[in-house]
Amino acid sequence: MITGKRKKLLNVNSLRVHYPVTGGIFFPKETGRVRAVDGISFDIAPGETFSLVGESGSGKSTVAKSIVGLLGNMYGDVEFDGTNISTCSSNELMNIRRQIGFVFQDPYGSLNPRMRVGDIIGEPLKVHKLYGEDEDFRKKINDLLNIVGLNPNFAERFPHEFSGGQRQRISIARAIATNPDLVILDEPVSALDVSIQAQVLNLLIDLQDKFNVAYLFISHDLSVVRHISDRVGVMYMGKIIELGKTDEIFFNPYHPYTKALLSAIPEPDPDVELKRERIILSGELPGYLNPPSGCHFHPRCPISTPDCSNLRPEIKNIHKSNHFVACIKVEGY
Amino acid sequence: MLEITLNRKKMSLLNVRNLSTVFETSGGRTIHAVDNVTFSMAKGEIMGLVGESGCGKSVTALSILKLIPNPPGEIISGEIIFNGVDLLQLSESQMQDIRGRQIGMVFQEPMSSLNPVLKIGTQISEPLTRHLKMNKNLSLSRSLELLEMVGIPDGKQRINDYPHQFSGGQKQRIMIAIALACEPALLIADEATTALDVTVQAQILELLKDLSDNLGISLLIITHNLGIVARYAQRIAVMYAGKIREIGLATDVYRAPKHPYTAGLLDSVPKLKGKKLTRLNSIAGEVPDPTDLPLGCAYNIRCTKVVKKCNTEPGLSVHTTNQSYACWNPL
Repeated sequence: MITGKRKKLLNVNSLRVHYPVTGGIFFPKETGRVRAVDGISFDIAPGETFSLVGESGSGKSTVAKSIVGLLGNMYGDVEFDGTNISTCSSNELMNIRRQIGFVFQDPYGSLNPRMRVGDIIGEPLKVHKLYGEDEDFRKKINDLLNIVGLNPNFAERFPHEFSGGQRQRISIARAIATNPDLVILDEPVSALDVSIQAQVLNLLIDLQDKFNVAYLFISHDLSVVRHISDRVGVMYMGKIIELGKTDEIFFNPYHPYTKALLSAIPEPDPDVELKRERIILSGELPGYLNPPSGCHFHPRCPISTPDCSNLRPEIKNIHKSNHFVACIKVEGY
Repeated sequence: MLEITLNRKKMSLLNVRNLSTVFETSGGRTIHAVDNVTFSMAKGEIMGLVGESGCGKSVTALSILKLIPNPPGEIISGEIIFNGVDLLQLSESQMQDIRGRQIGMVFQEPMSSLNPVLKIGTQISEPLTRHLKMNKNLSLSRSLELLEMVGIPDGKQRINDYPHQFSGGQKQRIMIAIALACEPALLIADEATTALDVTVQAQILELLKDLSDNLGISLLIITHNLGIVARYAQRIAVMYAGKIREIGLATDVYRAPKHPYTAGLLDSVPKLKGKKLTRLNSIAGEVPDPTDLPLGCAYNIRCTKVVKKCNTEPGLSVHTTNQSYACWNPL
């Protein structure tokens, strides 16, 4: 659906992740379904940064995990470099995982406290049997530590000796150890202070320039997303409701949810803030077990009409501009 | 806003002077969590206290309420004049009459600040019966009023619900209802919206601002989010390693920060508007170990404008009546 004549590294087509909800003790029956991800499509070109933004529970992280095959209950197609990950052999899957790095949100929970930093960073190299010789292996670890701006002597230390920002650098070193083509970054800077967050974002941008690696960047922070992305997809309740080039999304948003999300973020500039129009949404994210009929956003939407509770809008290319939106109230939809 | 600054001396509600709070570590070292902090707040004013983790924002708030666990912590010097009374001279039972009555506090974690085994009606009416000696009927009707005020629908039914039956945003609304139950003169919101989604965060902050406007409550917003302060606060104080490094009118400080740390912090935040930068101007290095601060200005190891004099501690110097900073080589 969302395809052009772009060269694609990753192609996700109608990805769905549904969890059955069962009731009954002796003969459990499926009583409902949580549609955590409900039919989303996007692609990522080599060297590109694509971001998924949304609030907690919108399904961003579920998308990230299902792409590397970490989750069951997954339907639809995920193709990496032409190989479908749900139908390929385990050898091929192993090969794909070598080409995809992963950085998680929690810099404290994602590093094994009993392993030395050198072993943490070197683990993917060992798993994929990339560096046999001890000397080469150690040199590679030194290189990786240098690349992410850490002292090579740190290889002998344990994670608890490092600050949050340094730990996230270690996670990034581990993610790029196997020279991946794609790195999935799941809220990589959310747990960091602003000054450290800026350092890590700069590091990510430098690494992309150097190695031409593509990023799938998952975040709830729109200003960070604007800074780092080429294209952005906005998620709400398991669906992408708007997708397009970063500037399009930020300066010419169509969907009322995107508009509200952008206006909810305070800018660190009182002059801008005094003049700004604010859209304050009512209510909160509804439950997944009984999602609203029609467009899932309609109970909170400031411009909803009765039609919105009946029609479920699919995401469409507006004005053939590769700006996609799922809202019947948008002109040209 | 101008009036507020001019009349600050007359109308000041809270005057914190030379406040220092220390913690002893198990290794026998001393952490100067809050070091010689001085600021004041006027009636009805919204002030933002910003800084990165570990800079002493929360300890400042807890010191004002005298909630520092002792040991290991201790307020070693200073004055906290609230409504003309020095809180540091009061006994614990006198403080209990002030907490929740005259100073309300909303904490970061709405999930762990509410008692999970008590109905929310009981928790909202607790300050009413404790401080205002209301009877059951009165406190019930006031609780319903409060629930409506903070935007929780169907109060009559929901008042008998337990905290787990509410969402994160609703729990934070309930915390605000409890904090505002006795109409305090000062409300301290310590990272009150950090755990919430942006759309819910906007709802809660708008609610706090409306309450401050309508009830004349002073609001101390403690946050690491510079955007929140820009949108809601009239004044801002920037903390780093236990000290206030810059303080003044928010518009002045944001437009022309004098302290290199304030400027660095503002530059580190990616912007939604304006030209997109390829790289952010980040601050080099990390926050120093609080048990082992560098000599002089604690920012000198990260500062780009460092001069010889920086190995001695600068005091707050007045730039204009609306802006002061602690730096030897200001911008």
